[in-house]
Amino acid sequence: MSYCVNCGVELGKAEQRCPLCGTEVVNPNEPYDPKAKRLYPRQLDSPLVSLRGRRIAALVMTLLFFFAGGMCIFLNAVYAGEVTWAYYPAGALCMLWVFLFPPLMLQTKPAVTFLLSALFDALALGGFLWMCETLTDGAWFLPFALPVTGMVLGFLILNAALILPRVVKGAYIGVPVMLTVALLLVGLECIVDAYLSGTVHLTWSLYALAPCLILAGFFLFVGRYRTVKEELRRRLHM
Amino acid sequence: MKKRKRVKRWMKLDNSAMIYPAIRNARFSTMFRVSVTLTEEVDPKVLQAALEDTVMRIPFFGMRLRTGLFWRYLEQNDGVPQVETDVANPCKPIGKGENGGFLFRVRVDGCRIALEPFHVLTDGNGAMVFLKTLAARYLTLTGKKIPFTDGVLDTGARPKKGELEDAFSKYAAFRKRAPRRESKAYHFKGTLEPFPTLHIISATIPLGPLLEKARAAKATLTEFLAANYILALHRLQTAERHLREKDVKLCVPVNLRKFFPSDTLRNFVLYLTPGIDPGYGDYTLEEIVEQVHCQMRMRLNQKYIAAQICTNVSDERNPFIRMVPLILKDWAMSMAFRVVGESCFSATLSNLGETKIPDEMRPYVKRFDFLLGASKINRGNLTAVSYDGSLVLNFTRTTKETFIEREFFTQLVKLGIPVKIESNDQ
Repeated sequence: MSYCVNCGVELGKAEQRCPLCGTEVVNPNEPYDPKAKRLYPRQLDSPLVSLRGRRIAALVMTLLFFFAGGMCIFLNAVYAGEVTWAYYPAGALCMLWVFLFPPLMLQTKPAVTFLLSALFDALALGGFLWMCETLTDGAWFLPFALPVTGMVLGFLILNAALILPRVVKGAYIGVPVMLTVALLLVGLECIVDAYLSGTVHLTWSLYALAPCLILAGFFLFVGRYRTVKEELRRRLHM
Repeated sequence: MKKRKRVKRWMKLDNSAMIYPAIRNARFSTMFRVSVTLTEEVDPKVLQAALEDTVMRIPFFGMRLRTGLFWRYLEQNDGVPQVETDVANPCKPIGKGENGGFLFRVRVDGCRIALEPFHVLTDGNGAMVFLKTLAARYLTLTGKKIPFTDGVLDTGARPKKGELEDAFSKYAAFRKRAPRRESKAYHFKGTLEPFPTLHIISATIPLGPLLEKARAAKATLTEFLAANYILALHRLQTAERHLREKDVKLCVPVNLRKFFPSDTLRNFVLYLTPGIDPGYGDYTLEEIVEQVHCQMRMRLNQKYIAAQICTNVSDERNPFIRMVPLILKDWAMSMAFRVVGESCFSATLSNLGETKIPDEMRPYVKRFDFLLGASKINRGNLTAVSYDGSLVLNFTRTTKETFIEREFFTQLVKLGIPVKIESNDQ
């Protein structure tokens, strides 16, 4: 029989390390036997939870949206003789459906679900805005709406790819978030300037850039020094 | 001739079962597990036959949960529950429509038979009767002679009415209600593991030396274990250096069958919350044992328990509450559980006591285990069950850190009590 030199407890034969403190078991008389009968098997219960409730919710939502959109088009066509305003509510409902349907039905890892949902959301939003532009004979989709939508999508994807799989964690999360917020704001001003005047002259985004960079540095500092992190956690915990 | 449709049997949920469907979610399973380890390898096919017989004897295990307009209820399930192979992370919640609608799982691994019921069906004592009956039936089918005593039921007999009763309604004395208000308790945080990870640390301790220590401290075994657990939690809170330390309290289920003459196999437990207020200063183990002992003794009497039952049952009988649709009741119950339930205790300690089985069954049984699923708020629980001079303690947690378990067991080792540790770590 082996004992943990750190905790003083006897350890089961299948334990390679002390389950209490993680100290490795070193016993020349009775070395660790990986074939020893374990208290529990290695097989894990599936993490999947039932989709039944979600499927019902998705079905009800689809029927509801289809009915509401169809009614708008029908009433518009009957009373006005042609479809005019009904494109907007019907398009908005389609967009909303795309926003809600994938998160309800996807059963992948949280990071993958988020990335796929964000991609679908951006496509739906882009499609809706393009429809609005076409219906109003505007010329703002390509120079303004599309770059802004793409930029926000890039912001979400970059942060999700870093945060959800825990590539960055704890206080370090604040660093990419603040840096990408700064980039987003600068990019937004560039797009607005280019759309309105045709030239780019950065002003207000630089004022927003400074605090973002300071905050990113602050999060880097807090993440780097454990004592500072503990002190902040102690004083600010709720 | 037109075939007449058979009316399915149904039963109301017992008083304490009503809250469990409302508060269950992916992170709070409200499942628990009792298991028995036999001396011989279990044959799953024979166990399947034994399971089918046992479900006929304790019929509410063969029911599914249905939703009515005002209350949930149990309805006869025409399917057959299946024996499954065991896993490393038990007590995963049973989702709606999963598991063929059955509210329990029976799992087998080598020599071990495990029963994992949803708390809506029964409590630890009811589950233990089911498990003992199942194991006895299994042994009978493999050619052994097991008598129907010590909680082993005759699977050939008809279920008794008293075994299926809602004992809460029967014993609620409508004289005075016990107050519900309690102070908020400390909850350790730790790093939450991804769902459905459940870390289990199992300790086997000889009962003699532990009982000796408990008696020397003028406490029962449960009180002594509770004091040790509170001390470990108290030390963790102190190490975390909070500006204002909260009370450290445990939720300790009490088997009400000891106080009321009921044979029910459904839920019949209430919870006490002994603990300490760290605001008064630092505590030694002896001081905590004394505190826990006094608090438990003060509340463990039939009058006070009847008043506590009355508090719960009177809500169920209130005509205005009864008229409220279930969806609103669910919301109110989950809110109430958050405010006056899980926020008022730091962790759970459940001691099933000594497991008695017929003498003829003893040569075939090695040990019993008892586990509780952990929740997102109360991230660790401790359970105890003793058999044949050994106490098996099981710590379950959903966090990475093992500070509390280590404090708890090293404290016992310091007291001179030998502890053997096993785990489900991969």
